[in-house]
Amino acid sequence: MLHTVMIDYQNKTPIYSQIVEQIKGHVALGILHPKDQLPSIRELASFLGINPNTVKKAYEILESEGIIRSLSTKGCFISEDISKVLKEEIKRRIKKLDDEIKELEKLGINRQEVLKRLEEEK
Amino acid sequence: MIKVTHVVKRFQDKEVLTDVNFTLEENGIYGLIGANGVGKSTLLRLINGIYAPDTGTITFGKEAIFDCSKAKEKMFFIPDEVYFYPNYTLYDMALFYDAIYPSFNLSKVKEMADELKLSMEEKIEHLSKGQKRQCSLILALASRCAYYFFDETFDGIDPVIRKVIKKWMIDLMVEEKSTFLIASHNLRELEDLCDHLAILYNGKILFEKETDDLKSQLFKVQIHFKKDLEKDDFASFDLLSYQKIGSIITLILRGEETEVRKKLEKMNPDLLDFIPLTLEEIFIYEMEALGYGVVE
Repeated sequence: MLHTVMIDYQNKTPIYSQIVEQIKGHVALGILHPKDQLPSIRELASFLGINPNTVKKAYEILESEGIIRSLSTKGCFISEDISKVLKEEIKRRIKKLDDEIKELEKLGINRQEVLKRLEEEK
Repeated sequence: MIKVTHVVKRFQDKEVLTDVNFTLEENGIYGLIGANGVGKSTLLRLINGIYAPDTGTITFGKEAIFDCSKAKEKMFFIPDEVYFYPNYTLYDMALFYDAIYPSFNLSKVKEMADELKLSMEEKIEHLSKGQKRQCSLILALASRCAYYFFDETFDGIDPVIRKVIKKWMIDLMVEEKSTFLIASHNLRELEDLCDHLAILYNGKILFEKETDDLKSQLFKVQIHFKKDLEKDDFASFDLLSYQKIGSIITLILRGEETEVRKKLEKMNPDLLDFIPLTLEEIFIYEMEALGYGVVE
């Protein structure tokens, strides 16, 4: 199966980090599983119409973070141990939530109030 | 690797290139940007050994390119005005290049022409402007060279064809570790494809950077404080521009985003917004930071 990512060309985030973030996200959400094979650099570059060096850079970052493993002849695979990715994804999302709460605090409601209101929304 | 060192080129008493330094590493796509008449085509002709530099050197490996057919066998140049012999068909032109380039792959020409629905038997002069460009691109990519130089080549090519050609370029980069240098006045045309961007201005390469670095090291920040702050309060930042309209301050900053954000948050702003810049804006600010005016 050719697993691919989507690039938002209007987005100013560099393309390589868009690829990194999406693959991490897909791993955390269980769309990509341990030992799943990623498309080759050429396949992904061709599919997205981007420079192969950009894909290479994204894969190198993912590999250095232990999210994928590259087996020289067979290609790139999702690592067997992805618990770290999951932890990081949760941390990242909590940080996002925290930033949002900080913004709300500026509008004059404190953290307790925010949490209470969230409970009521459910 | 192709290296351009301190190259100067004059025509009569007009100095077009004053001091060009530039290195093309293997296996990349380089974008060369510059306004009309700034000397992009001259630089390409110099690199391809069509002109000799007045002073300075241009080398392929250790060899000077001018007059070196061994180096030129590995380079393919599509000039801004493509030229074909009168009455020649795509097939005739392919035979011509096949005799010149040892690595030329004749069967690839047929393959690519079929994919673009171009006839091998029709006289090229009967084709449209865009189709002529397609022919030149097919001939270039079939040469299986190490280095390709395209002078405004994607001008007049429709997006569908452009996508197919991009795919072939990607294949060449993976299979043959090819390198491309694309000159254009249009930044948007280069943005998605090039891993390096260089800008030619006033006879010099102003800067040459990785596209990703360009994008990730410069931001626009909108910031507002309860107290009144002045430009001096931001002296510890690498500031490219400072603007205060009403009580809202707009900054253009260079640096690592997370670091900059942390530092700004410590100043206790009640509004802090990071606004991404387009590549075009980045170029304009970078140019201004170097003391130059507008890009285009």
